[in-house]
Amino acid sequence: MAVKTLELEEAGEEVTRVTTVRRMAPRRVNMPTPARQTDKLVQPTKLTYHDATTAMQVEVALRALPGPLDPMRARDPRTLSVIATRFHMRDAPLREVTIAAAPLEAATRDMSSTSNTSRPLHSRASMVRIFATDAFAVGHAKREVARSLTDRGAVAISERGAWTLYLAPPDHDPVVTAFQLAHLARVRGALNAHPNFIRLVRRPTNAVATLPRLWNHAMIGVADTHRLRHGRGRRAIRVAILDEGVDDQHPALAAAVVASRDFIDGAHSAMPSGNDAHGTACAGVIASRDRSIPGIAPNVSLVAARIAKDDGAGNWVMDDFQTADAIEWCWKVARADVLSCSWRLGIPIDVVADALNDARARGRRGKGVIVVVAAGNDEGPIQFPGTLSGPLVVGASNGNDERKTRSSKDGEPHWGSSHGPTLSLLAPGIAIATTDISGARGHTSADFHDSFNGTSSATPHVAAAAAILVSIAPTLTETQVKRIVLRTARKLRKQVRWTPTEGHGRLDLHAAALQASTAAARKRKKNATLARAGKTRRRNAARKRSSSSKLT
Amino acid sequence: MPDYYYSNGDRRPLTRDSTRVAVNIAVRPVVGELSALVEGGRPLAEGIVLVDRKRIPPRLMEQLLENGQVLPVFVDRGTTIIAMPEVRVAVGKGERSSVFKAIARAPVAAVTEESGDKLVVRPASGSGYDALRIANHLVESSPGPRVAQRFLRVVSRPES
Repeated sequence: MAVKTLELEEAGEEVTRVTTVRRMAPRRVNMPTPARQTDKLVQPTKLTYHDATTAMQVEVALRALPGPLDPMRARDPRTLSVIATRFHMRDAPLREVTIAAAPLEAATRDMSSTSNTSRPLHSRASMVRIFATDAFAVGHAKREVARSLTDRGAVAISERGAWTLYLAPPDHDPVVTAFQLAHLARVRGALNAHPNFIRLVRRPTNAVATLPRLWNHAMIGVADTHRLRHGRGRRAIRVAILDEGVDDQHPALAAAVVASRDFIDGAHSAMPSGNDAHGTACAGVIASRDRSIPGIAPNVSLVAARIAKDDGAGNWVMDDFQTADAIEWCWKVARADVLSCSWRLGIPIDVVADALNDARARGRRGKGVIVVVAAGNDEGPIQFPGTLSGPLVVGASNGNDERKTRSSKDGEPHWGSSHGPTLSLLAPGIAIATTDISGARGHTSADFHDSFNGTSSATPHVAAAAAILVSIAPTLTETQVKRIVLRTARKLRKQVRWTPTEGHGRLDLHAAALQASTAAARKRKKNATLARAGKTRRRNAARKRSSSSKLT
Repeated sequence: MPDYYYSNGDRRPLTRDSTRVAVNIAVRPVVGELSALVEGGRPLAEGIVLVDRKRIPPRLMEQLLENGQVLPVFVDRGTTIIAMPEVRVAVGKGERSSVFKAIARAPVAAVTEESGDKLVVRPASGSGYDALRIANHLVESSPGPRVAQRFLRVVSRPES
């Protein structure tokens, strides 16, 4: 069946549970027009539908979208027209809905739910706009109902449990017809029947909204870590952000960025282009120096390398050799101690693998650069470079301290953390507050946002942790840092050992930092003992020399 | 036309995209039919435009192939991969002469440039297919040095 479910997501706004349909071959044969079958249909001017949960009739008003849509505006993710344009591309009619009567909550239920009782998806505060299309859903209906609908030109496009999703016939106003046919199905005995709405809701969704800002800091013990010696990181320690650029003029980042280079366009600054805010968000998670939204390691320095650019269609364009050159530059020239790589390349390539392995083996004057890479967000197998065994490969956890999956209860059903034999650990990866490109560009028109998502946001958590560990104990090798991070990771509920989906558990920064502190203290003690021993040795030797000179 | 490459010594298949090709417009002036083609294409990196194969008239395609301006496009799990006309060889101690011999015996003529401890090998034709052939030949004839074909990738944007 030519049906696909699209989870459209835009910066700051989100469309949930949208079912888009590739229109099938017309099945209308000698079909009467809806106008001739209005005996049991409501009038278009007063559209209503029945909400089974509240047992209420919900009255709505429809209004058309304003004028012809400018396709160029669709490039700006913050405009509503991007949604509308995408739906118009499949020729789906789209009308905005205003709730005329009945509680708003009733109209904002999960219309596409397969369960008999629909559940509220979004609170009143999070609702922005609702749209009706030509689709409607009928649940628990007898065959006669289905037949009467298809006789009137409705096309069944999807079945889920006791529910069937229909498209109204493409007559003069299929949106109105969808309401009429839903009403008809209800009158003919279907237990549930209602239009299938598209809802444009403000991010974060209800589950995420319950998360306090900086919940991720609380989860991994940032405040306790900051109280340790060098627990905020040290300026001498550098974390490289290999991404689509970092806004090095950002008030919260400018002081942190000590080296910057654009490997895409060959410029001397890794300033992102357009609204490419991903790298700036990664940088903020690590080293934002803002008081209200600080980074995890706000005292460390940043190295920015631009290795990707947006192609204007939601993809990144990346060049293998430029990526390899950037990796080499980060540790050889910019002297990075940690590499944060929130991306994946797909098929493996030696030139990038070798560059990462070189950094791990030869960086930090032989102690090894700590390489941290993202696991991926499609809940499938981890892809290169996450398939390499050397880097720390990071998946995402949510506010409930569980692995982020499509079905985990966090209001974000459109993505899940990838898995595989190389997965190291999880770190918070949902609704992360961080820096946005300063000024009007980026996710929002503000300088910060609190909706950075995905293993992309989990990765800089671990990169920051590694930077703090080497700040506390600079002599730690790459292997030792990795061992501490993995050994101190907190096992998730019911987890007893490493698994390909959860790795060693969730990052516990404070526990890792304590271990590093112990290692550093041990090292200091050993050095002091050695120094004392040396001093004693030198003193004894001096005494011996002076006594022998007296004898002579 | 090779539909595979090597990574870590393993031969890996490449799935060719039969609908699109990449055109390298950096090497020749963009005039006439090519100009219209480029306007309707999708610019990727500097000088590389992704175009629908159907939109290229046969005569123009012949000409582009002859000029080495056509770069092969492959797909893998949502990633679009373009083989660029460049191969990088990391040469270890004592491998130098065997690598140069292998380059000399390559199935197509190549231009070699030294860049630090690496060799950059480019097919004289400028073709991405030829670069892939050279890379595969180098791995198959002298397994010691690390050989990498240059790929340009269009990957889905990470979540943010």
